[in-house]
Amino acid sequence: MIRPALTLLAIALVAVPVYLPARTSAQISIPGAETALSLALSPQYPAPDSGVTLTLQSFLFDIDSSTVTWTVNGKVIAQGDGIKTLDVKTGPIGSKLSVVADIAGPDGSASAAATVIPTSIDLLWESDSYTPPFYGGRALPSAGSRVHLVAIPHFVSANGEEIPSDRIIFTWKKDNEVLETLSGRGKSSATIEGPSLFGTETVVVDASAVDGSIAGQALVRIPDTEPLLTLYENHPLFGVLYHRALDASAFVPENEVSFTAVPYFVSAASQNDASLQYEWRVNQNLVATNPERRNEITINAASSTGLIALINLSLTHSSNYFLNAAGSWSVTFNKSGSFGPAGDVFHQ
Amino acid sequence: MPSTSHILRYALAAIIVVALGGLAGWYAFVHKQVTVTQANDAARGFGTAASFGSPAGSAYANSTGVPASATQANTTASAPAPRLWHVTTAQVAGAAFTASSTELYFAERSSGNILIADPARSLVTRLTNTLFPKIYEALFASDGSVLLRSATEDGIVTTYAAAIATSSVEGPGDLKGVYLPQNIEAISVRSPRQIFFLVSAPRGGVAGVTTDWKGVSQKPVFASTLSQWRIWWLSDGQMYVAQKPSDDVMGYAFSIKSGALQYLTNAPGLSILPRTGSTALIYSSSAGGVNLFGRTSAGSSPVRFTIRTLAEKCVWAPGKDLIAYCAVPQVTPTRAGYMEGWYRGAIHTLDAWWKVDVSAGTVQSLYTPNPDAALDAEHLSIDATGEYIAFTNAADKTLWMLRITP
Repeated sequence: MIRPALTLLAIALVAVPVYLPARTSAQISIPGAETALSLALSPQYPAPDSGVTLTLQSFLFDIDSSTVTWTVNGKVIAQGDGIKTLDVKTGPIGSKLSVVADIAGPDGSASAAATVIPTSIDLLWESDSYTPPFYGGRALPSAGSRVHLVAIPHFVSANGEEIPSDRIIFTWKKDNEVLETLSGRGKSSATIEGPSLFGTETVVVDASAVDGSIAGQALVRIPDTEPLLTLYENHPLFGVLYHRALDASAFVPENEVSFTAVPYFVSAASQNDASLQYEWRVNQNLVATNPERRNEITINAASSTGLIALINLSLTHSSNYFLNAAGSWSVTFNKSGSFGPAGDVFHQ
Repeated sequence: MPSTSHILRYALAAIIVVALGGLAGWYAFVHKQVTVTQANDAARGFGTAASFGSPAGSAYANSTGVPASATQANTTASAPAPRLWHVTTAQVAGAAFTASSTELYFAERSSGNILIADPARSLVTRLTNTLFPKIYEALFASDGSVLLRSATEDGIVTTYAAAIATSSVEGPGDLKGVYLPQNIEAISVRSPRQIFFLVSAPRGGVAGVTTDWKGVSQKPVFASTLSQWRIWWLSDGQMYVAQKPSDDVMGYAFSIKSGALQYLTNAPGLSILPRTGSTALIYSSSAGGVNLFGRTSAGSSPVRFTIRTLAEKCVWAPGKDLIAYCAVPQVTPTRAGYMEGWYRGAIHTLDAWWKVDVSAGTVQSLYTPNPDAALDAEHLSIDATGEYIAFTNAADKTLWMLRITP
């Protein structure tokens, strides 16, 4: 199956199902003997259509010297001396495996049972960082941005119906700390602060049906992303040429061009968010911009002796001191006439 | 000793000379300025024939001064187009085939004008002359009705749902329609003239509604506290949503049934291509390397193909067989952040065309363009007979058409 394989490849998310608590019974009347035999599952929350290992554990019985009989859904699967573990494969979501382990040995006999109900939780996330209109990809979190998460549990009850989110209790944890205000019945969505600079946020959501019959867990690791300052030509008819990001060295076939800087993944609502501070320099000269369009600049090389403009742009944030992006582009303009050296003052 | 009259004569002569000199200088100055002004005006397209009033032409050609013949096929061409046809060198915002022919509607990005291209005759004809500059995205219904999507300087996304007005006179007509709500995050067209779109919800996230082409009869079908989705509403009524992809970031795709999400698949950098009339699916993952998968139905095991490309660079062929055609980068993208780079316009690939048989799990080389063409295909569509594939070149947004059979 590709689904678990891809999950492993990604390592970013682990969807884990749950099992019902093991039941034990013993035929001897030693205090505590009824809990002396138990079954442990590995992984603790097996996924649908995946392997799971059940291990017999006891502080009272000598399992190695006992005869163990494993029964799955009423059918004996294995029998022999000292068989402590059993590997089984879960079915699809909604299926159930009833596993019973009976032991008989010098210490007496006992049994333990477990019901394995595979579940899964899809944990989706996105950031509220900035991307321009019509951008095809996901907004990634940078320092100062927030992350929206949604957990979509796939829990199927005993009668075969999927349990809706409003009958599930969600417990959100960030870096092992429970987020009390975000957790509760039906709270399948959460918004948290994004990762810190160069950091990675680990978010875990535990979900359990209100009757406690079924539960699951999902985990996601969200790394910090460095904002990308990208420069585009802004054409009066075509608009911003988002399909053609300017390389560090670029040629434009005109002598007057407007440029738009797009700060991908910054923590801002728009390109011209009041908190963003752009500083443009053209050939080392500080250039003032339109206060309404601080991410845009127009360069006219028509009356300049030079045709190469070295554009430097730095971007900072008025309150988010982690934001410090910069870009540099050497743009050659097209103009009939002599090619002069760089360093001329371009009209803006 | 000169008399007073002599002095006056000399002075008068000097004044006349100075005046003539001044006038000559003024004339030279004005002439130079007029020349400069005319040159600048010409550079901006002044004096060039307007795009409207003619069934051919291009706003791009008019604004750049490139002759129309270089940017548009003329209206009298009759020879079939070459196998790989550069339909227009103007930037386009979107294209789609008509319902029952190999003709292709497309919208110019600079003007919003609608044109139609006929590969059987290498013919391009302008259908509308209503100006809508800065069209970033255009989606067509099979009857030529179009959604023109633009963005204001403040980043507000506008969507104009329009149709070509019938005209009693020959030549281009008007494009008339209505504006749909602002800031539509994602939109999908189901022919004829049905729309599924996601719009920002007041409390965050998005609300998904279906509507007709006039924006009325809205019906909610989806809601999410997340807002970054891609959506599909196929002609058979199937609805799909998938998270916007990002390299090495887990993405999920779902089908929508009765307002509920049903899990479809997940993968890092997930990009999907659902198919109308079946639950077959092509999808790709990207995490420092791209892989393409296909499955014949919702419950079947996926097959990984040997070609490495994004699902959005593929298109399903019509018909019963599960055949698709994919544009495949000739140099496999392996760098991290490939998808971000591609979406930002910072990375472009050089594609060749492959035929994919999803049922058999096989691929076959179809066509390798001349490297000079430097084609990075996106926004693929295929005609109803499965004869032509239309696509835009992501590197320059120009429109191309490929005949599938040699």
